[in-house]
This record gives sequence, structure tokens and C-alpha cells, in this order.
Amino acid sequence: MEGLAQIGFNLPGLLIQVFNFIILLIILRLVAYKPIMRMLDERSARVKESMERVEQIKLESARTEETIRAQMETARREGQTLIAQAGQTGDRLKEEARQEARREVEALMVRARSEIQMERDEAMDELRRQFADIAILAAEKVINESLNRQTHQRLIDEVLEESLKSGGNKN
Amino acid sequence: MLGCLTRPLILFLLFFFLVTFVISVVGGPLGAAIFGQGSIGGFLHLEKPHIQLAAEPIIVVAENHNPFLTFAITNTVITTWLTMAVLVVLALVATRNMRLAPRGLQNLFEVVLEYALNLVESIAGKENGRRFFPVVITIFIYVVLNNWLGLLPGFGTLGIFVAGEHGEREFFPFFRGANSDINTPLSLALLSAFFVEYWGISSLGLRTYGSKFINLRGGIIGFMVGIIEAISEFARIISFTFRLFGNIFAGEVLVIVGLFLLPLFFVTNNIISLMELFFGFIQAIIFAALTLVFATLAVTAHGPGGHEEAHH
Repeated sequence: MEGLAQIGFNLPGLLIQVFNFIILLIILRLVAYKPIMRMLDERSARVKESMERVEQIKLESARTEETIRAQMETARREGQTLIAQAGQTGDRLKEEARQEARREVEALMVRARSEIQMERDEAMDELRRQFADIAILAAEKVINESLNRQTHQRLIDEVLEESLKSGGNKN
Repeated sequence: MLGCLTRPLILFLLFFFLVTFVISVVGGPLGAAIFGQGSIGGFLHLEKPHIQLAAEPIIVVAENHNPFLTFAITNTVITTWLTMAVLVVLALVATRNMRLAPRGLQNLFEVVLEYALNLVESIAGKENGRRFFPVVITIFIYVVLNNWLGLLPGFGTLGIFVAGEHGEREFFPFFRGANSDINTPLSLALLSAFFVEYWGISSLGLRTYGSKFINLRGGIIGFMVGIIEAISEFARIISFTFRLFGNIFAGEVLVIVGLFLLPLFFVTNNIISLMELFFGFIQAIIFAALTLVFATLAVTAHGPGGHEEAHH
């Protein structure tokens, strides 16, 4: 025991130092380790979380981009279809208009032709009437004789009939 | 070489070192030994260095005829309290305004603790690392700060002269490196051993853990190995204690002897102090790391013949 004391062993001193260390351990644990560890854990959790969020956002944006691309593709296709349809419609309309015009032209031509025919007939009748009158006048002058008008008319008609017949034959 | 010597500053420094060295040698104890005390040698009249293994009591609380039981506040206890105060104040300041984005002292604490935590977890594993961490890191910072505080000016030199038992003058320094008193390393070694056993038992259960020491299944050889395990468990405490105590006490003696032999030639003292700074750090690391390793071994179930021991 004496030798131990000479080296410096001292029971109360030893107990004080044990006590000191335990006190220090408790205080530092409360004051330093716990809050700092909590902070470290919180920070690493935060970092992990934000990393995950970044990953998620990246995924989402990729998905959105894909959607937009698909939508654009659809729109393009639709537009092309519309353009094609419009072209077809235009062609059809043009064709219709052309046919309408042709029909109108034909109708006009038919009408014109019939009018011409009618006028020619009228003119021929007029001519015939005037010719009859001239012929009667001429006959009156030539025979100088007043005949029964009715007989005259019959005579003229006969002549005209004959002339028409012969004219018709000539034609 | 000659071009260098012509520079006035270097020349002056060399002259200064030479003069202090010569004065130190001639005026110090070396001169006294060579030329004889009282002549030109030893004119500085230095006190013999005060070297004592036991810590000097500053306040005797309860005197006992057995010095082993005398209860006194020694200078090493005062230094320990100083260390504790410094650590607690630093920790309080560092964690007073905790921020997610750390600044200043909080940042420093976090960097150090995070590094240490990663180191501990890499050795002991994630779960056990968290369990061992507070004790291991407290041992480290407590030991290293105690060692470094002991190197401050005033430690071992600031004190009072007291009349000894036989009338001679005795020097009582107020402060002394806490680990140069055997009670401090011993208390740490005992606590380290206590925590190691506690972790071992709480992890493996008393029966499994105890079977390491009282091995009845392995025959005679197994039984003997168990006894050796038990002895080595006690030997750890002794090696822990004397490794730290021996290193730090020797360091303090070295500082004192360096100062005594060459009192004005401070270069020697600077080199010794730098070395002691390094040794203090290394000893703290060794103490903490060995505690960690022993704890890790204790919580690992031993296979037959799996026996490991590490001593420095």
C-alpha cells in the first residue's frame, strides 16, 4: 500500500477522476453529441430527400416531355389529314363548279338555238304573208280584173302551194 | 553558404542562439558540474527540478494516516476540472444556436464529430458504432485536451513553496497535466474496461459473454484459454493505465529536465514541446481506438479459438 501511494495511487483521487469523467460524458452527451448527431442525421436525411426529389422531378419532366412529343405528333398528323381533306374538298368544289358552268352553257346554247329557230319561222311566215300580198297586188294589176276575193285567195294559195312544192323539190 | 551568412538577420539569430546556449551551459547545472559550484559555473543558481510521481495536494480535505486514503484536491484534479470546463463551455457555445447550415464553432464540432463518427462506424459497424461513439470520443477529447493543457506555460511552473516534513522547501505547482497523475489514466482504464464488459454482456447476454472466460466445453485447453482471456482482460487495464501515464509523465519530466539543463536555450524546449504535442495526440488516439477495438471484440461472438489481443 505504501508503495502504491508513492507512485501516486490514491483512492479518493481515483474516485474523483472516475466521477469527473462520468459527469463530463453525461454533460457532453446532452449538450454536444445528441444535438449534433440529430443535426447530422437531419441533414443527411434532408440531402437524401432532396436527392430523391430531384430524381422524381427528372422523371416527371421526362414523362411530360414524352407526352408533349406525343401530343405534337398527333397534332401534326391531324393537321396533315386536314390539309389533305381541304385539298380534296377544293378539288371537288372545282369540279362541281366546272360541271355547273358546262350545264349552264349547254342550257344557254339550247335556248339560243330554239330562239333562233322561232325567229326564223316567224320571219318566214312574215315573208310568206308579204309575198302573198305582193302577188295578189301583182295579179290584180296584171289581169286588171276584179275577181272575187275569195277565188283569188284560192288561186294564190294554189300557186304558192305549187311554187312551194317546186321550191321544196328544188331544195 | 557564405552568402547566406552575410545576411544580418540570420547572423544576428545565430549569434543570439550561440550566446544563449553558452550562457545556458556555463550558467546552468552543466557549468556547475564542470567548473564546480560557486566559481564561474552555475551562476544562474537554479533550483533543483521538482519531480514527483504523486500529484501534489493543493487542498487537503481529509487527512488520513494512510496516504492511500487521504482525500485531497490535487493539482491534477484542478486541471481535470479546467479541461471539463473548457470542453463544456466549447460544447455549449457550439450548440447554442444550431443551424442546418452550420457556421463557426458548430461547423468545427460537426466536422470533427462526423469524421470521428464515420471512423467509429467503419470499425464497429453502424449500430454498435452509434452505441460506442459517445464514450470513445469523450475519452479521446478528454485525454487529448488534458495532455495539451499540461503543455501550457504555467503548468508545472506556477505554484507555491511549502515547508516539507523535514524543513526543506517543497514546490507545489497549482496545475499539472492530469494524465501525469496515475489516478486519471487508471480511472479512464477502469471506465473503459467497465464499458467494454457492459457492452459485451448487453449484446451477447451474460451466459454467452461469460463463456468466453469460463469455458467448460472446450476441454482443458478451452478452460485454460478462458482463464488467459480473463487475465488479459485485467492486463488491459494495467497496460492502458501505464501506457498513458508513462508517456505523459515522461513527457513532463523531459520538459522540466530540458528547461533545467539549458535554461535560456529555448530551442530545446520548443522541440520537446512539439514532440509532446504530438505524443499527447497519439496517446489519446491509442486510448480511444483501443477502447473501440476491445468493445468491438467484446460484442462479436467468439468462435472456438478466436482469440485476439492488441497491445502497444
